[in-house]
Amino acid sequence: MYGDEASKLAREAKRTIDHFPPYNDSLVRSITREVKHLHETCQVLIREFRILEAQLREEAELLMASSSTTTAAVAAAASSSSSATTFGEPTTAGSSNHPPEESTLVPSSLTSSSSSALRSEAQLRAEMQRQTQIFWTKYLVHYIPMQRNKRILMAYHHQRLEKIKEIAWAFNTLPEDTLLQTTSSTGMGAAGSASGSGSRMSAAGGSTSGGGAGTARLLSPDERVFFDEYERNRNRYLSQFGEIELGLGLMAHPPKDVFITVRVLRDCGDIVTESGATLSLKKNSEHFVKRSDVEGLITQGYLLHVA
Amino acid sequence: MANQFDEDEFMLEDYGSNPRPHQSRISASREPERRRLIDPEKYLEHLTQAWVNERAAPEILPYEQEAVQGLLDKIDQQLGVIDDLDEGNDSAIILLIIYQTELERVKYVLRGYLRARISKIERFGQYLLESNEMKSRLSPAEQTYVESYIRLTMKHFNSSFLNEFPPSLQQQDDVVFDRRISMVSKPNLSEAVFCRVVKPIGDWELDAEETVVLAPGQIYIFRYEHIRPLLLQGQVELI
Repeated sequence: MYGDEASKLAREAKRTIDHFPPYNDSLVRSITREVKHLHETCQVLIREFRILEAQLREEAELLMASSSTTTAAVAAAASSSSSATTFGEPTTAGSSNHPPEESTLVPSSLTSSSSSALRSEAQLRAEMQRQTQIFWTKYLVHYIPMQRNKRILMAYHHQRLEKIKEIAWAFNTLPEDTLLQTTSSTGMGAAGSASGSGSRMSAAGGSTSGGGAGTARLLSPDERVFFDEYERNRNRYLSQFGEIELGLGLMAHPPKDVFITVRVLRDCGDIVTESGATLSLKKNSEHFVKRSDVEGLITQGYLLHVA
Repeated sequence: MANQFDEDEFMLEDYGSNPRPHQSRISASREPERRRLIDPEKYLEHLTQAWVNERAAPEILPYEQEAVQGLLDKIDQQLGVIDDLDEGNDSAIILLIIYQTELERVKYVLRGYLRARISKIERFGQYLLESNEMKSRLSPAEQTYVESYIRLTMKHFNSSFLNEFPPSLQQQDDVVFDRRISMVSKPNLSEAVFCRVVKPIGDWELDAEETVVLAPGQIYIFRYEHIRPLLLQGQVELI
């Protein structure tokens, strides 16, 4: 059925709203294919309808002409049957061989119109209306899924972009391991949902980091390009503040204390603090440090804020 | 007492050897103001309110160039003060902590304000670019930001799937079906907002039928579009 693939993608997007699954390339591709197919079908429908319309109009004109001159009605029986087939045919005819068919149809309708007694003007109009209705029904059946597919693709990509932006603000780079499950709770919009989401996040983190893939692998090539350029744009924006380190990425909590105690959960080597001192962060050690120096590491899960 | 504290909101007092060398620089560097001047002491207060307004209002508000720049200058100045502190001195350590706490808080307000704007700018990017009035509310840096952001997202959608689409479906600003949902998101100006009246306004015409008397201190819930002009003039503030 049309739209099935897209609804699968929409459901996936909804299900994964607070973690970051790999880019679903195959589904996106098959939806794109479906759109292309739908579009071709629509084009064929339009072409067929145009031809049909032209025929009916021609017939109507001939009817007018013949009624005024009242030419002899000959070969009525034979041509009336041919006119009936004329109407049935164009809708089933393939789009490939239009020009020849059209040329064969015109004479046949010529002959049929001479049998005008069978087809009054009113009948013609009714036929026209019927065909128009058929056309629009068929067309909409193909057109609406196309629109819908587009919408879903837009929404899917948009949702991913929002996630990617969150990562960009929180990490400044694509993190090596899949720690970003924690980002969705630190992003500024999600501040309210931070409580209680921790356990869920870590569970999700466990399942995806099992493969040991870096974040970059979850992104499609296009998304990686987007990330890089977004970063560049962001840095250009930040550069207006010159020397002052505003820490625009850090929004988690309003600062209550300047100095905090942190426990190191994972080795992060030596870091240089704002004041120029070097701090050696070894696993399981505790430090009393300036909050702004290590906030990024807390967000990334290297350090635990103890007190 | 009053004399001691009125110089600066967050510069607690002059610390010994540092006779406020930056003060003249700040007032000199401030360009001649086109709008109402903000008292330099009130920068922080002003920006905090601007932040609240920005978060509560559905649309983007004019950029607080003066307050942002003023605060940046002050942060710079305060960093200088901190550098000059004598580390050996016990009272200096306490002062250091106080200064730095203050500094972190000011930075927090600043980045909260800027991030609130950035998030709106990203959401309404296309809409902002289409209107000159909206564009003029952005700082120059924000303007470049929104321009390249829109270019980026468009490029991303195009290269991800729209390129494969038939040309008639490739636009990114169409109106979807008969439901009139435009792909360009627009702020919903009839959203309800809470506001506090700060200046005596008197009779204020909400629409053809309704007029309210607004006096300072009152708190109302209004449709945003009704009090928009008052907000832009600073006669009410959002809460």
